[in-house]
Amino acid sequence: MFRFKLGTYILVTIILLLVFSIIVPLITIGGHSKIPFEVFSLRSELGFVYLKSIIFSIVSSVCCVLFGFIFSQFISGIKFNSPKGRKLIVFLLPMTLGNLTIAFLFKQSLFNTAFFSGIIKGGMYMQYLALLIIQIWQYGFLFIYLFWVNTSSLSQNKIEIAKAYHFSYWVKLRDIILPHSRNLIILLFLLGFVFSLYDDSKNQFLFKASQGTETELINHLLMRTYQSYLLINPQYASEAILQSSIVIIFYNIVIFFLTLFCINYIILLPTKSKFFFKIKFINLPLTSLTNKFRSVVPFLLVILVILPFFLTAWRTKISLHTDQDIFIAVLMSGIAAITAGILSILFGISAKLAFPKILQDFNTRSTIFFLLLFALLLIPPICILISGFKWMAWLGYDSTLILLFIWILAHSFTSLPILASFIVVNHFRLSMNELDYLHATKVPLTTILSVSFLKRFQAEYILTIIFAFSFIWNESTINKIYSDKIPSYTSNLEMLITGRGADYSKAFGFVLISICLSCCCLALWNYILFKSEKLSLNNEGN
Amino acid sequence: MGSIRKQPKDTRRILVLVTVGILIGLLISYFGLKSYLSKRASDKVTLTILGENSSNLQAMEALKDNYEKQSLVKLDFKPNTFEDAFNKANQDFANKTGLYDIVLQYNFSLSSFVRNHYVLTLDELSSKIPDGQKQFEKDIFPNVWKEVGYYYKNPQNPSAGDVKIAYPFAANTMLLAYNKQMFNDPKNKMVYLRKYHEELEVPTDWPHFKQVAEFFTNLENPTFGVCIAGATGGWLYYEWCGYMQGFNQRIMDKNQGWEGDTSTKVLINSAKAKEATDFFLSMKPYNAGNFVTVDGNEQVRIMKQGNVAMALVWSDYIRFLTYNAGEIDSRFGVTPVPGSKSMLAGGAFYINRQSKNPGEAIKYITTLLQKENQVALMKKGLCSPLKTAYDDPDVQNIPYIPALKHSLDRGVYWIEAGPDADLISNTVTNYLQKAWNGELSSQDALKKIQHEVVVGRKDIFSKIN
Repeated sequence: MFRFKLGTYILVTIILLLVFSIIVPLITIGGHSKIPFEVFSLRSELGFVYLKSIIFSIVSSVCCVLFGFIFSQFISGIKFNSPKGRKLIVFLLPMTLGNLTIAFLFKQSLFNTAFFSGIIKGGMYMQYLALLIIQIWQYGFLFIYLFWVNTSSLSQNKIEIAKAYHFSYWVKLRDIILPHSRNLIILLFLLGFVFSLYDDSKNQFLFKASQGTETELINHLLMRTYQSYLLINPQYASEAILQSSIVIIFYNIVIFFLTLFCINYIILLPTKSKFFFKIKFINLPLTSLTNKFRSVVPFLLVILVILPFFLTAWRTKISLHTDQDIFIAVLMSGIAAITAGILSILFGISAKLAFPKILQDFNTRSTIFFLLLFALLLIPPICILISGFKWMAWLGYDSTLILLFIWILAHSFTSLPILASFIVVNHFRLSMNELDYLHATKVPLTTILSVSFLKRFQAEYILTIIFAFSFIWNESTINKIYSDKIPSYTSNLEMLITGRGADYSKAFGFVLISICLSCCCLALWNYILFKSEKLSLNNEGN
Repeated sequence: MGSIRKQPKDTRRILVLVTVGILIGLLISYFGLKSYLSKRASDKVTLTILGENSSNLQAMEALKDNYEKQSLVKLDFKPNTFEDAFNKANQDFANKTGLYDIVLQYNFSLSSFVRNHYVLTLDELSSKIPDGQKQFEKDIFPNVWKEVGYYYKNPQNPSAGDVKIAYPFAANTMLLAYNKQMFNDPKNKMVYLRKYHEELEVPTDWPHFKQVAEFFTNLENPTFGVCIAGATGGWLYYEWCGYMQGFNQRIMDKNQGWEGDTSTKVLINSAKAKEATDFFLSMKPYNAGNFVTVDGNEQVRIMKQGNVAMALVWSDYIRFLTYNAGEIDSRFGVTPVPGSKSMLAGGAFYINRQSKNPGEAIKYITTLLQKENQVALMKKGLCSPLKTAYDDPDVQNIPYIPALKHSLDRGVYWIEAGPDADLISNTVTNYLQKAWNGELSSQDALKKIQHEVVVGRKDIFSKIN
């Protein structure tokens, strides 16, 4: 088996740097603390809130994946390079907006309505249901798009065979679509899980989640506890939070691992030949039902995407004000996105070259790889915040250029798990046999990189950089630490929607700028797709 | 064949790379130049000021040009959200990074900042204050200063008395905001007179407060008597303290918010507290909004809808209600809360012990506290801690000034500001939200609050000592 040693070294170096940057400050803060064993109990307040957060994350990710998968089947007839297909880029818009922007949009849409009052009066479960719907709006459309793109890449041979043998929809689903989508389902489940686990912006801003209403999620509990303990002193506050965080991380890893196995097993279940659908409903004329709604569904989905924007615009006055800070924030986010993208691509390529057999699909060993990769995202954001402040205490704030460098590096590291996992899963399409063949025929490394990676996956790499820009622009932990030195969209937006300086008109102006940026990124992605499609058609012609 | 002639896409790629390179270069140059210029200007002292992004801070920033011209000191304001300002101040102090020279924080931070020796006291700074700049000290509302700017001389020995720590930057209290149109409506006046045999007036006592709230509540219109803030983050806690004050019931047996130790008696589970809590909960049928989602901002938004008669609003939010795009919103009036007392809160200017320019910092603060500057700041929204600033003719047209002055004059301690402040606020909010939703009786809620506060305080003070 071909194995590329340099790839291993690069991989290990990046992982060690990552671990070092987060863990070392935390050890210096809480190194001498003892963990009281009672915090391991799920019966404590921490345990109860943590359990709610985990259940919410799992349910949210399952719902987002199901939503994405089901509706992608309704639009599977739309060709990827058709005019209609290019318009579906609008499905990526909610994900590019970030948690705080979405919280603001829904707050403004629902403020002082009977519908919103009904949700509040409905108690904890109604509020979680509302939160779930917002999560589906934020990520579900992205998942639709990714599943649709994935389905578009189904082998033509398999489609012809299905037609020739008159496969029913369910047989096609079981034997062709599900196996083809398996890796993506698992990846999106993981992403949905980590996106939901520590998200509390929407819960806080919309519902003012609290202990009294039992709507608190784990991130808010940790932040609230930390703020309380700061009145004693910051060292004590940091130690107390670290103790709780270690417990949380331990449980996160166990639950993450177990859930991953369960999802993998559930997906594989219908594809095993012994398992056979004996339920009558498989004979329902689903295909004809799908055809009836096929033309309407994309239109309805697009309406759902843009509805909150129109509601907010209808209910909020706009006050546009810009200063150089926004320009600097955009430029800095762009530079950090390119750096983060390059680092993730480097990581993804190194991982594929170092472990081609393990990383050819989701299996037991690749699960461990992804678990390690996502471990960073399982750390509570408050720990990243404390760690960041500690680094700045060591490095100082005197040199602006060092600050910029650390800011870019911090963003590159914190966005690495998501971006790299996206790239690694895309690299599943590059078979081990191909790499073995290239190595056996002594093809230079630069040619392998150029042909097998950069040219083949260039669209995915560009999408990764677009995702990176969105994550960094909307990120609220690293940006908070540096917001006094490096302008931050989320810090400025938060000042305009909470506290004594709140001004919703100005906030909406800010949000519009962010929406315009998102639209520009998506338009750029659309253009690149269109050009690369045209180029491939031209090359075929030549 | 394609390799012989240059492909257009290669040119485009090169152009893109060059453009990106130029942008990166520009950015690096911008920051490099900024860093270089700031070093070059180092003979000009820069004071970095951290605070919550509020009308207070914005007002100070609006006046900075004058001060910079007079003093050759550069003022660098760093507005943040409340949580971020609090976190950053604590991190800067604890890590001794000296990033901020002046920190504007609220009264509950006082205890921690002093006990941990994070800030310079006024005694330590007294030699740096020009003699001519100190006259304003006699002009500060004494109760306000005691509440937000004094602390124990020796925290280990509370009986040794207290000492001035910092100057207040704002004096806050709760005020009764009311909808003038609803109160002045002749039809309302007539119906009220017929029903209660007395004139419809803005209430000055709590029984009338409830009576008026009930009168204005009509779910068919709909109109509501009150809008109560019941959100977490201190909002419900402050409202409830306002009602407790109406029944003359304190949370603890002490005289200042920052006072207290493990032996301080907690008075939450008492007959008067139950009476006050029952009264508070009895306002539910007259309440507008969703209660648990209503904070200061949402309270003002709901009042602005124009169908709510009254609300207890903090003085640093009252400007948002009484002004609209810079002009006075004449629909709303402001008066002191019912009863004979008002609660006090506010914030102080803290000078970082690690500051490289403590002398310049205290000079700037004392300049800000001169009457003419306080008047200028009040016109932009500050709730000044100086008494005579409220008598200045230039501020008399601000609608809430008379009520605010009267409230600060009669203000006393009523909300907690020690290291246990957050514990008390969170515990009260937790159980009162449950009581509001009918999950607990008021008696059970108060019992649980009392128990948790007593236990929690023991734990907190054991960690401090």
